[in-house]
Amino acid sequence: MTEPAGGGRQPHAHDDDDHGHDHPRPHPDPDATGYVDEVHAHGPEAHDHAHVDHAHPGEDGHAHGEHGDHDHDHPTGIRGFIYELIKPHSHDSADSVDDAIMANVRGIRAVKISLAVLMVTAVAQVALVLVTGSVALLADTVHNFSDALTSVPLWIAFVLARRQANKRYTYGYRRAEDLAGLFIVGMIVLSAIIAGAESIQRLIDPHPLTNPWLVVAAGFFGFLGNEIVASYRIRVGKEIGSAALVADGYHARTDGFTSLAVVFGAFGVMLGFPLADPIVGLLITAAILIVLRDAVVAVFGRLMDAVDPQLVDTIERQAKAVPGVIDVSSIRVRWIGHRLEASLHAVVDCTISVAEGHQLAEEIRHAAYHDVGKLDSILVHIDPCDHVGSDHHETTRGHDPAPPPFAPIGYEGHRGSA
Amino acid sequence: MTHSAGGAREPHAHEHDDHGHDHPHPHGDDGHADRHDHALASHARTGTDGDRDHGHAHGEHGHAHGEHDDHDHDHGEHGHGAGLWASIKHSLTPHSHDHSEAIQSAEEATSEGIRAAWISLGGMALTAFLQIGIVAISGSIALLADTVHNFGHLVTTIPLIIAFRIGRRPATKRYPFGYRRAEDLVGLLIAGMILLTVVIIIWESVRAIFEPREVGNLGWVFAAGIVGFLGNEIVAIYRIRIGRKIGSAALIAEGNHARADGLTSIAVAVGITGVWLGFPQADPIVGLLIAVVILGILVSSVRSVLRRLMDGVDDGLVDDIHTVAAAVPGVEYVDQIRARWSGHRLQAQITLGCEGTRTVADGHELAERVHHDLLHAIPNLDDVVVHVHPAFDGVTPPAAHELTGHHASPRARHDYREVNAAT
Repeated sequence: MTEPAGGGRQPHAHDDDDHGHDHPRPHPDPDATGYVDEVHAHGPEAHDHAHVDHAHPGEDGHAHGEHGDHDHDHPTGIRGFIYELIKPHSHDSADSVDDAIMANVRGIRAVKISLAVLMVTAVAQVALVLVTGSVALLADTVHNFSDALTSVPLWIAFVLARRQANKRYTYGYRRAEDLAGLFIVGMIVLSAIIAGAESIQRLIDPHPLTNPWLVVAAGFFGFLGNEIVASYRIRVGKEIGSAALVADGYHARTDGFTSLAVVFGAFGVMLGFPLADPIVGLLITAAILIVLRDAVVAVFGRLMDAVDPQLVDTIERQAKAVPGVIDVSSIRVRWIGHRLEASLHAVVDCTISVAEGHQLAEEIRHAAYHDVGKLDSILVHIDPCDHVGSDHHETTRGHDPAPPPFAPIGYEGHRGSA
Repeated sequence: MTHSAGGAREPHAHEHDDHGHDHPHPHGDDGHADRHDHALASHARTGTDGDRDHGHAHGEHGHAHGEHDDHDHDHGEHGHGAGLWASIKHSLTPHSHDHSEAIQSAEEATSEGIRAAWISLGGMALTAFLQIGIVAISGSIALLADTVHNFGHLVTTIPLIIAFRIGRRPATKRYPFGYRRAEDLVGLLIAGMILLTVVIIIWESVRAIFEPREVGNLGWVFAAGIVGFLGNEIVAIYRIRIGRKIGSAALIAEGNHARADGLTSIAVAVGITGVWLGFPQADPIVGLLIAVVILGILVSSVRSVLRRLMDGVDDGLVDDIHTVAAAVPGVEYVDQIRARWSGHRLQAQITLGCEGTRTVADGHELAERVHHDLLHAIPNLDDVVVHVHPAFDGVTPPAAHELTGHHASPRARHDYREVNAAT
């Protein structure tokens, strides 16, 4: 998206390769800053690229195990879903040329499938409600329906993520996913409150249980449906790097726990321990709080721009290994939705040409793309080596408010004295 | 941008405390000032409230705003109309005053934010104590509830101060961008508290429709309402002003929170006036009207905080960055510009073209000049990462990105795999 003085727009691949669009293709009317004001979602073409994801020949180095050709062989639809459930596997995070669009497609598919399963679960419960006319069960069913719908914001976020960056959202719309994660965390809190409140209420005011076996059956369905959805969401969420999808999985798990509480409570009543019902309820509430903690850590970490420190080390090691790179500093990485964005400074010989320096930057970027899974874009700033008698940062010396991310030896702190 | 390039960093006095007095390199001071005014003309809003455009030019060229003591007065001169209404209208309109503060450092901005948070907390406490005095004199239980509500600001202001302090921490490998985002998360909490205020006022109003309140001590309750309104509104104006100056969406939201509480108090006072005049029905009606106003405040706060969390920036910022960078001699073209807020500071990335045959040292000097000019021109800008493309006759040849070309897009990745599979 250059505006060269000569006028012609040359096709070249540059840094903003996370937009999911082809740069050599002519843009619809971009302006001088390179943003297309009109935003649009990428449609069907996504699928074309998506399924070649794992056919990348350079993947000898990564441990896909028997699942190297996963996307080609898997049956789709409900069979595919069951297949995925019974053959759990983890995709290597070092999948080099992985694909933002593919990850997105997988995310949306996971949301759709889990929504369908939860709906089936809820409908099965509705059938039981109709047969028995149990009011208590009706409340649980309504709860399950509303829970199924909490993944709708996540679905919207995945769709939003396909939009191109524009002048207002220069990084695109992927962050919507993290906000959806926040919403999901709120829903888990609500689940914990409801479970806790009901237990306490039953502790104070125990109500007789009618049709205990039916309640057991409904609770069992609820648990099974939710737990299947939970493990599926968590697995796909981890594979594609989506904290929100993982949190949604935790949410389903907490709902499954709630149903399980109903089952144990009913057993207790049948065995003559009516107090078992509220006590199990309280235990389950505690379990939900533990699950909640994981979800909070994951989602708030993303919103705070936290990453695994090893990512920084990996990028540093790879960048330093590029011949001609003297030093690397100011490495920054963060998640945007389920993709990574990075920047770093690399020191090179100051006497080589800009073109040669840029080539080194390209080599650093290339190494990073191949070694850091889910990396979407990386920007390299070239620093010249410390040439005798010149200070290459003289211009901005004294303007630099931020301390360096990893203070070099001898660094005195950014409010330090001379 | 942080520089820790090898040995290039010598110990030097940082300017955080004395910034602006101590430029190690000579500025043409006049030209410098001009540059600010021009570069910022279209960027007269750090505002976070975004798309509402304020159709007034401040005409601030040439006058230093300093500490903004003369703030309301100035705007009176510029045709806003005078008085309290002008002041309210003014503070509801997103815009920034910080042209002369463009190069305020992060440390200065954070200190100012913390100071504003403490001072405003003091203001809230004073208001609450005045109300307690009135409660003690009148013995009114209803007033006590309102007073307790005012103390509720501790729930949001203290986390905001903590977030400002956490934001000062240096970046780590786990948090490579630092901790400033905590501020935006507190902004979300504040928006939640404003929502609570709306819910409470609607609840009370609806209840008052069905069971009209027996209000005793009309005079005292009226006085408490006025005190609550004035105290909260002063705090609101102050917080919003400082929030705009330092670019903190959370502090602005906290100002809106105080404003919402002040409006709640004024609803009480107006309701009392209705009772005096023989219209007890006025109480719930005024309450609901005020609820609508607060809802408007809530929407704008939520929108600004969410936009920050979505990495959105103000309209015009990217254009301003482009204009400033393109004006630097030696810049062949300006490519991809990205910017986002992290707490109350802006971080930017820019790619520009430089003659490819020049040395890396020259290219870097160009990058530094762009970085420098941007720091001066863009308020609240903290950090710029400049990527330099080699250009030949103003054009970067495709070959320059051949190496990473197969990562550039889904299509490129697809083609790359096809080619490799064939061989």
